[in-house]
Formats: sequence, C-alpha cells, structure tokens
Amino acid sequence: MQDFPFALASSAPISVALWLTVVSIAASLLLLLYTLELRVRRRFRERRRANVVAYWRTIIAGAVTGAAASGAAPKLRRRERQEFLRLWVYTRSMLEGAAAERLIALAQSLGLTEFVRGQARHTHVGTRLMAMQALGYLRDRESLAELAAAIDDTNTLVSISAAEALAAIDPPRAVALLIPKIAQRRDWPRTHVFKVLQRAGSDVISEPLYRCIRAASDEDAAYLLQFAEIAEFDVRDALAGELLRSSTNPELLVAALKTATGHAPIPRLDELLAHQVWYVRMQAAKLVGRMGRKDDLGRLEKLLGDDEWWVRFRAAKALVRLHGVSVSDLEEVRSRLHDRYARDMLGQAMAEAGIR
Amino acid sequence: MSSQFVQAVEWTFLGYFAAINLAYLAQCLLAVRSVRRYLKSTSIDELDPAYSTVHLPISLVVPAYNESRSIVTSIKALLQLEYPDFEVVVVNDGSTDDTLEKLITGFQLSPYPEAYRKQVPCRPVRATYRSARYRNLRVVDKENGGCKADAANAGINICRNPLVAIVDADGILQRNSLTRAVRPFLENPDTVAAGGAIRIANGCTLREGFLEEVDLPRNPLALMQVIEYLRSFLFGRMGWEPLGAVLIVSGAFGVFRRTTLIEVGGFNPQAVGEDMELIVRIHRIMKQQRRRYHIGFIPDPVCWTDAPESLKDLGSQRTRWHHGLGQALQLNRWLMLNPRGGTVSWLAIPFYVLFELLGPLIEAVGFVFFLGGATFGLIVWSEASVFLLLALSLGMLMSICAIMLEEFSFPMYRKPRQLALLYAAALLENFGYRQLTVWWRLKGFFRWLTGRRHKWETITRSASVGAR
Repeated sequence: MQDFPFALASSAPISVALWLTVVSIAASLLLLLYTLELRVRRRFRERRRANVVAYWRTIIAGAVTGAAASGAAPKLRRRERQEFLRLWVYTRSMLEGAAAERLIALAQSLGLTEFVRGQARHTHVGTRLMAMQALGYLRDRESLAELAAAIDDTNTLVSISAAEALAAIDPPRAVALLIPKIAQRRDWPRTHVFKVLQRAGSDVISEPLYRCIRAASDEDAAYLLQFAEIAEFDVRDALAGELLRSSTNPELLVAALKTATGHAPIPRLDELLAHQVWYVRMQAAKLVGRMGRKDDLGRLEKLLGDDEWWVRFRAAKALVRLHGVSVSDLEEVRSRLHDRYARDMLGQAMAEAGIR
Repeated sequence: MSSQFVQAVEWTFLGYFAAINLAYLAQCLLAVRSVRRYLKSTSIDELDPAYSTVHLPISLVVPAYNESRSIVTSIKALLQLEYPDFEVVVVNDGSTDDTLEKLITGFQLSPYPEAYRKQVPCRPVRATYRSARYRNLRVVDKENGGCKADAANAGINICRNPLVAIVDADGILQRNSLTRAVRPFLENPDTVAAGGAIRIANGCTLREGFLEEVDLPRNPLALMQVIEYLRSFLFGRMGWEPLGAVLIVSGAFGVFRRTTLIEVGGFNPQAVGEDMELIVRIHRIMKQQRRRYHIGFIPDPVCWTDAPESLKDLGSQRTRWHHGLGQALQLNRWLMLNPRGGTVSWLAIPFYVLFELLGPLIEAVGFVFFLGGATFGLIVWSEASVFLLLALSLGMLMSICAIMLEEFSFPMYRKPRQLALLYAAALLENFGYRQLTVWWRLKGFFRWLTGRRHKWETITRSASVGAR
C-alpha cells in the first residue's frame, strides 16, 4: 500500500474508491469535451448545409418556374451532391408536368443520374432509399433491372421503395412484379403498396389483381382484397359477388363486403346480416348503410338489438345514413324499440348525425 | 474487529456503487446504440413525404381534475395537432372548480346520449358532451374517482379508435407528437404500448398552447429536474428499449393499443403510480399468456411538462413516484426472476428492485455510515470524504452522459449559456438536491411498506412557463 500514489489510501477499499473517483472525473471531463466537439461539428455542418441549400434552392426554383438563367450551367460540386439530392427529391416529390420535366433536365445536366445510380448500391439503407426514390423521379430506364432485383430484397423499405421507383418508371412492369408478391410480403406497409398500385392506375392493376385474388388461398385473398379498393368498380363488384356467393370463411366474407361498391346486388345479404360471426354482421350492416334504401330499414332495425355492441353501433349508424329515411321514420323506429340498449344506440347515432 | 467490520462495509458499498454504475453505463451504451439506430431511421422518414400518410386513428384521452385555469388552452392546442385522424376525449373527473363550465363555453358543448360500453372499471359517468365547433372533441363528465386512473379508464371506455393516447391536461405536445408516437406501432405490429421522451417546460415560452422557444428554468429545483429527466428518458428508457424491457411509459404521454388496455383491465385505480403499474402488468400478462408483444420508446421529445418548483410539491411527487414503484413491483411480483419472463424478469425487475427501489435506502445508510463513522471516530474523515467524492463524481458522470446523449440526439438547449447551465446543474445537484431526493424516495419507500393510499395530486403551476 505504501507504493500507492495517494497518501490518503490507507486500505484497499479506499484505494479502489479513490481510483474510481479519478477515473470517473477523467471520464466526465472527456465526455464534456466530446459534447463540446459534437456541438461545434453540428454548428459547422448546419452552416454548410444552409449555404448549399440557399444556393441551390434559387437554381431549382428557376428550373421549376422555367426562369433559369441561360448561359453556363452551374457546376455541382462533389461535397454538395448529397444536400442537392435531398433538396431535389423534396422539390420533385411535389411536382408533375412541365415543371417536373424541367427539374429532371436540370438533374441530368448536373450529372445527378450517374451519382444516384452509384448511391442506389450504397450499404447505408437511408442513402440507398433516397437514391432509389430519385431514380424513380428521374424515370431512369437504365436502372430498371437493378430496381426489379431490389424488389426481392429482404429489407422491407428497400424492397417497397424499389417497387415505388419501378412504378414511376414502368407501371405495367412494376404491377406484374409486385402483385404476385403482395400476399407473401406482409411486411410491406400497406400505404406504400397502395401508393404503388395507385401510381400504376386502376386500369393497369384491375385484371392482374383479379386473377391473383381468385387464385389465392382464403387467407391471402382476404388480405389482397383490401387493395381492390383501387381497382375498377366492375372488377370490385365481380370479386365481391363471386366470393360472397362461394366462401364460408368469415375473414374473407368481411373483406368481400368491404370491397363491394354497392352498385351491384349483394348475394346472400340476409344470410350475412344474420351470420353467426359478429364482425360479418357488422360489416354487412355497414354495407347496407352505404348502399341501402328505405326498404332495408327492417333489416337494420333487427340488428339494433344485437348482442354485440359494435353490430348495434354500426346498424344505428347505417340506419341514420339510409337513403330516403326521414327523421320521423327514425323516431318511429326508436319509439317501437323495447330494448333499452337498442334505443340508446339509435339515440346516440341520431344525435351524432345532428338530427336529435 | 471494528476495522474489519468497517472494511467489510466499505467493500459492500463499493461493490454496490460499482454494480449500479456499471448497470447505468451499460444502459448508456445501449442507449447510444438505440439513438443512433433511431436517428438513421428518422433520416429514412425524411425521404418520402408520403410516409407521413401512414397513420393509425388515435384517441387522445385527457383526464382532468380542477384544471379550470388551463384546460381550454390545452385542449385547443391538442385539437391543432398535425395528425390526419384523431379524436380528443376529455374526462372531467368530478372537478370541484369550474373546469366543466369552461369546457362547455369554450367549445360550445352540448349533452348527447353516448351509448358506450363499460369495458374497464370506472366510477359512473354523469353526462357526455360533444362540441358544435370541433367534430372530434367529446367531453365526459363523471363522478370523482379520486385518481387519474379512474378518469383514464372512463376515457378508454368511450373512445373509438384502435390507439389510445393518455395525455396529461397540462402536457404540452409538439405539433407532430402523434406522428412520432405511432411510429413504433407502424414499424412493429406487436407493439402494444409506446412512450416518448418527456421534457421540462419550465422556462420555455408558449404560444397558444405550443412551445415557441425552449429555454432552461430559472428555478434551481426545476433546473435539477431537467438533468434528471434527461438521465431518466435518454439513457434510462432508451437503454431498456432494445432489451424489450421498458417498464415505464410516462403518465404524461403514452400511447396504447386499446384492445390491450381492455384485455389487461385498464389502469388500476388502486395504484399510486398507475402509469408504471400498467406497463409492468402488461409485461406480466403477456408473459403469462406467452404472447408476442413489444413496448416501444422513442427518444424524440414528444411532450413537455410543468415540473414542480417548490420543495413541498417536488417532495410529494417524488414520494408518490417511489411509493408507486414499490407497489407496481409488488403487484406484479410474478415477474421477479420468473423463467418465463426473459429480460424483464432477469434484468429489468431485479435492476429496479435493487437499484431503484432499494437505492435510496442503501444510499441513506451509506451517508449515515460514513458521516456517522467519521464523526464517532470509526472512520477517518479523509476516508469518508473519498467515498463521498466517489458518489459525487459517479453521479456527475451519469448526468454528463445524459447531456452528451441529448447533444447527440435531439439537442434542445442550443445556446452556450444553456449548455453551461446544464453542466453546472450536473455538478450542483450532488450538493443538497440529490440528498433531498433520497429522503423523499425513502419516505415513499416506507409509505409503500405501510401501504397508504393516494389521491389526485395538484401541483402548483410554475410561473416560469411564459405564455403568450
């Protein structure tokens, strides 16, 4: 112990405590310096970014409005490319038509396409995603094969972003590749799948989606049906009609009821309104509310006394929405209800609709 | 003999210090990793504005008791949140002031017959109201249940969306708080609850219920709490998140899957710390039922709250929190070292018992031992000072880690003066403030042992939150 550098350390625990104190104070000082360095670096980065953005924003705005100065095209420096790409993608995401074309022309004149192709193979996911999005916006046909391969990437965001880019460049090809994979890739965010399908257009997706759903298992068909919302009306009604006639699977029945537009007659409607599974009854009630008329009043009135709260709730909402049903009709229904729960529910629905 | 005893005690305290600080250090490293991963994913978010269209409908439940002074401004701010599909359900828990009247006039409320299902227990509802001006606002007036949990349960019964956010009536949300808070639910379908970082609003400037300028509080007690909140949220919870062992989602702002809340029976009105008890119970029930689930946490500052500025309010809050901690762990003791409990049972719960619940007791015994020992000549003063210096330096190290994490993730205090003040607070909290919190937590510990009940707590609002 005499060799110990601290005179205070008279016992082992004290010397350990002293060493720990010294180490923690040193670590605190180092962390303090590191925090300061972080701050300085952040300031510097923010300032540089602001300068780059300010410079290129003017040029991009000129390209968008078509007021770009003639003469020598500005040169995009290597260290500015990432910031410019971010700004370009952001602006491009809000534009279509001639302004978008001018923006694409600007990017091409600055050699952005080549840069972005390289970035699309980057190991950092964020960088890769940004590049794929840019390739879509640039409508770069040379990247088609690479994007098609990236659809099978195990990373959810990479694969769905590749699909989105592909849909922007070549919609039929994107749809042909994407639709057979939707049921297997449940990791794809549904809104992104919707976006890709929407971008391709209902005329392009209707037929392949119809074929895929008809060939799928009940579970997959129920999942895929949600995307039929984008399909053409007659395809939606055909799918709904066929599945409602042939299926007994409650999940599929619910999905089919959601798909129906209400423009075509619904097969087995009374059977579905009395189905043993409550969420099928609920969905059927919702559909009646969407497409029904005054003649359907009795059907919904029965459901107001359902054991399940959600069925009563949806039936009441549907009743209030029915075409041709007046306030006095609803009051009459309410007055003849003996079930307190049913009466309360209809009362609430009427109050919410502002008719009570 | 006595020197051997003293040395044994010294080793015990040293071992405890080493264990607790190693645990915190490990948490800090895990938190750095989580924050880095999170920051990368937010850069992905920026890529496509369409990503923000991904949303899940959400109901904001705002329990309110005697909030007459700020309720209208708070609710107006909530109604302006940037989110495509949400409703606000304010639950007036039988306030004795004019909270309800303020709401009725402020939002043109009229009574209407809500046929709701009572799925979690709560005191009877007297009336429900809806707003003529805001279609997504409903107000529930219920009998006083004596606690926030009962009011929150009434809101859970009445709300209609699949996600429910419980928000304090005085909580200040950022405009995009909901978009951020639902991210864990979008990214992982097994998510049943999620929370975000809570920051201190004292010293900040507000405009129409939103934060306009961030600053540090002038009140020293509130300033110390800024450091505590950074420690607690940035490396406390972010450290547990990757281990799937987040045990607390703050009561000030937490998002839950409604079906999960109903399955587990909602908030426990008997619980003193209803927020922690609920999360620990969710862990327990999910583990008992062998179900896949995830409790998420995001480091974004999603909610700013008013911290107590008086010793009385702060003491009462800390006593209650510690009492709640003991109770939550006791009520869900099945989790302790249970073979089915995974990291929650084998890491988080033992950590909370050993370092959080028993921490103040051990720390207090340590203070008494070293100071008493030095006074009565059992230990020489220089040795006692070494241990006290060690406690101080390790405490400061943890606080500086938290400041570094703040700088690294979402720096809110950008002025050099603010950074200097944070460092000063990290140092000064060790002189007096820390000992006071040990005392309050100790009181909470004994309250838990004696099993006293808790009622709604009203904290005097700080004068330093500048409103415009």
